[in-house]
Amino acid sequence: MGKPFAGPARFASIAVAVLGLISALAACGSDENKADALSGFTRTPALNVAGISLPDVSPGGGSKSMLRADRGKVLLVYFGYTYCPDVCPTTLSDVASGIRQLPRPARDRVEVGMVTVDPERDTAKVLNRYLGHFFDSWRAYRTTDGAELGRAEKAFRASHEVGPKRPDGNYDVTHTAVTYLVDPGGVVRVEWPFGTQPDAIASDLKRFVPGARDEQN
Amino acid sequence: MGMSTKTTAVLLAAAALVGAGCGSDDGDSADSVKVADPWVRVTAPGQEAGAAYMKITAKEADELVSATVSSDVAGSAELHETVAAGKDMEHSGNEMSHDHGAEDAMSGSMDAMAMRAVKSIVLPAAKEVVMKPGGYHVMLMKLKKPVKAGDEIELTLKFKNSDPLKVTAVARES
Repeated sequence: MGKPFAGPARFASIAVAVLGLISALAACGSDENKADALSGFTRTPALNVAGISLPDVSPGGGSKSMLRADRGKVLLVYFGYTYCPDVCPTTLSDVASGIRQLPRPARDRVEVGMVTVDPERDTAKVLNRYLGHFFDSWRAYRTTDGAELGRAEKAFRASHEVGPKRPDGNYDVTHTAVTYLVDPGGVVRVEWPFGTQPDAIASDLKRFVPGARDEQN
Repeated sequence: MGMSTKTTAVLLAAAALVGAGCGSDDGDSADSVKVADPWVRVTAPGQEAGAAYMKITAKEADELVSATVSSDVAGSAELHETVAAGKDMEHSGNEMSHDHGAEDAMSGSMDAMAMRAVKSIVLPAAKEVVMKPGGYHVMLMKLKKPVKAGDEIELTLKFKNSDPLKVTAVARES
């Protein structure tokens, strides 16, 4: 038989590679991309959380829900807790504001899922009431299994640490306060650090939410 | 010779007035510390922790040492700050990239965020100290009911070198 990549097969594979390269370059070099540089952080290689699932205690949620977007949508994932006075309400408020800047049909293609880092106080009821304040629909990820939570955090390069208990029984939780945009393949496409403003969130969302750019309000 | 009783009385009265004027009784609290734009973020039903923010300017160097709130609003209040914990989990420079390098100042932290109580907030002379999301805040604990937009919450601020100040924080979304 001889060399497998000789002759027509070799030519074909080179042609495919060249075509692929051209389209990739075309995408990179387009004015569109230059004009809308991402506000958030990207990673190389990108995080892939496709294998992670957690119980979703939202109304209509399943006992196990994969941490990735449904087809045609994006899923914004955030690790937080409801006893958080400043960081979490700020982030969720900013995310909600950012989503509201999208044309109406595009908003339905953005899902938000919060993973509680404080399952002890954040019961399903507490979590759902909290998220319902910011969003029309959401996923509420809650697990009391520390190892399971740890695996999910590790996939996102996130962490948390429960602080000392006060005399009244309350405590603070230090936690990674990044919001992750996950696509249907489970790939984290962009990460917004704490403090990212609604405008920046909306701008990045337009890059990843199918049709967000073209639609009229 | 000698002053008449009337003159003495006038002189004593004048002395008393002057003495009163020169006295250092902390004087005008209304002037020594100014608070602008006090606000509280609206809370979700069932949310037990809330936050109040404001801008404080002290004429002379001072410290905000406590903030209290009425018990029909919350169980207690504490001065808090939000800080990047410095424990940066696997965010090595090689792995991450960011288009807006120069504009990073306000873009926030990839670190874990910690919220912790502080004993006081330093108020340098004539410098506006801004308590805002991601920074200093008054943490309201065990809220008795949700804070709705437009609600007014009275906070009593105590200072090291000035008289206490009552401020009314108005609730809003952001």
